[in-house]
Amino acid sequence: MTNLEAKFVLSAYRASGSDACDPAMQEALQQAQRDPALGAWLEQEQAHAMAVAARLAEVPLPAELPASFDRLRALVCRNLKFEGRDVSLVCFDSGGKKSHVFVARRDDFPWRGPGAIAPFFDVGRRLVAAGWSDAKNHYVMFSDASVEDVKRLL
Amino acid sequence: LRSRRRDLRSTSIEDLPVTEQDITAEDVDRVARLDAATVMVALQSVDEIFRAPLTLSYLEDLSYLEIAEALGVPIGTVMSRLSRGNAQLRAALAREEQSAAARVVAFTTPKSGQAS
Repeated sequence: MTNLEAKFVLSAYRASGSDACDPAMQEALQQAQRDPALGAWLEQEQAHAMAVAARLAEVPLPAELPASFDRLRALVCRNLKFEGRDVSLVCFDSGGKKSHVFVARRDDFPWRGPGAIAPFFDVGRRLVAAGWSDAKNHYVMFSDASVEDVKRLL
Repeated sequence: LRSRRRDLRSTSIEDLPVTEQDITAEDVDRVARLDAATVMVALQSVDEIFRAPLTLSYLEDLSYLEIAEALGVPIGTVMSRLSRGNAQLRAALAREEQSAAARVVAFTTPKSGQAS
């Protein structure tokens, strides 16, 4: 394994160190131990990866979701445009089940009307859809959890 | 295991990244200076093809094998995309910092004796 190949493999080495037992990683890690330049490179890679992971873990949820969402692990937060207006997308994980919540400000979508405060549910073949509103926002959620689990969240 | 290693070896050479600049101490310090929202903005600016494995690695802590399975691509491709994605992320972080600095308006006090 050349240093270039070792760098290539180690670029997938997680900041958490969870890959230390992976055979392909071990070969590259041993090379990094033997070669000071490669070792220094890996040290910087890991420092950068850990710093990025730590920063991303601090990202707050962008909207006032029900308190029950606090126990879920937020995976991704993205800002999207829908009809030229900002919409936030927050993805959650709960026991391997993924939920995706789109959040839009009511001021941006006034024509959606003041109703729909109570959640609606629609059970599809693969996903459960739910929608609700509060004083500030509209929420639309798609989840591969059961409808009972989704109802417990809202 | 043998097939995994073969998969890695058979795809790694063709996917070897073009020479990218190594991470510097300045790159690491930059992340410490930026806030979480800015780092997220930088991540969002990475090309989708590279952002997907980066997101799965950083936010879901998936291994390269799990990412390969999730995305349905060879593990060599995952490694290549992680490498290129991280390079794009570093460039985006530098741009975000420069852009934040450009928004700061310099303020100079009038020289003594100058009419205001």
